[in-house]
Amino acid sequence: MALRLRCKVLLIGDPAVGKTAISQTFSHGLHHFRKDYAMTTGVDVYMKPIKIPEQPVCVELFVLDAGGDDYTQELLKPHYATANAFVFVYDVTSLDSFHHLRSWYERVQAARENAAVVGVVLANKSDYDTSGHNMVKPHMGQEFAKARGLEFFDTSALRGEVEVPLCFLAEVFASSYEERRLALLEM
Amino acid sequence: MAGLKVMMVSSMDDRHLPQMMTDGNERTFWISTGMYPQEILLELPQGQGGAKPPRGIQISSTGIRVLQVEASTGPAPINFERLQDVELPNRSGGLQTETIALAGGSWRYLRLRVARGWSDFCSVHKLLLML
Ligand SMILES: Nc1nc2c(ncn2[C@@H]2O[C@H](COP(=O)(O)OP(=O)(O)OP(=O)(O)O)[C@@H](O)[C@H]2O)c(=O)[nH]1
Ligand SMILES: [Mg+2]
Repeated sequence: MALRLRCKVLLIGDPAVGKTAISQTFSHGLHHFRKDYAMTTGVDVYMKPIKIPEQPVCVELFVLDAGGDDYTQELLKPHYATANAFVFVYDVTSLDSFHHLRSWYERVQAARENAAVVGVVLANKSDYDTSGHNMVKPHMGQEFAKARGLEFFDTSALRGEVEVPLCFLAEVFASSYEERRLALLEM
Repeated sequence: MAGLKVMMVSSMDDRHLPQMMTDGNERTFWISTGMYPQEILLELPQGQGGAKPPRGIQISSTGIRVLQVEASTGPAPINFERLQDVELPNRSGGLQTETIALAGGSWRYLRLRVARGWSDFCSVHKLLLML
């Protein structure tokens, strides 16, 4: 019987950066991508089992998606301390959404006391051409991620390219479980 | 300890079976496989021929932050009463030892609910009845 691990992941970022599009494309596939924008007004949970390659292990990712507005984010706050991993999302066509990531990160960090913030940074809507002057350049996102020990990824919910960072988080979680288990065996 | 039986756990790794909590060996353990709350349902030995009910239970664990202890008189594991909420100290992954008094006497089932952890995973190494 395969081992089943459970991992709580929070999507964090400004309104309209694509948090809901990412969760829906990830959990139900590309045909669930919506072109129109419907603001998220509560907390939605998406669950997807991720099989870890070459191991009898499956990680059930519980992805929590809330609206990016301040009121709805309050609902997500109790989860800041207890989440296992974070997905910080910005929109490559919005410099504001990138600049706000710093304060999003600080809010999370403050709620976690001394616990580490494990996670990824997603440059979403990477289907857009980012050569224009008011676009977020890839190196900006990469530097932000690196400075905080986060992993950086380009994503496009429109093209269905969102799987890699979430599978990465599942693998990180599976190895941290194994590390803990081995440490306990040696205790 | 004879008679303490694990009836249900909320996480399962075949290498760390629930009965490893009650085998009296601190080196073997049950480990949670992610997220809180986690639950352990225990059946207490029933006093026979006037044997005294246990006074308490001693728990050796790691990573537990908030432990809620509930008990039921049976005969079915329903209608639990909250006995105690305890916050365990952070031992940075090291062993925590906590004693829970079983006031009131004739309990049949005990539910240990880990509402919060100090880390992503918690473990229980030993459950010892105190007579
Ligand atoms: N081109 C493109 N558009 C996207 C992408 N992801 C999301 N969108 C569009 O961006 C808009 C906002 O997406 P949402 O997923 O609703 O954004 P959100 O972050 O959930 O917004 P809130 O719930 O208000 O916080 C929608 O019109 C989506 O169709 C993408 O990868 N590429
Ligand atoms: Mg949304």
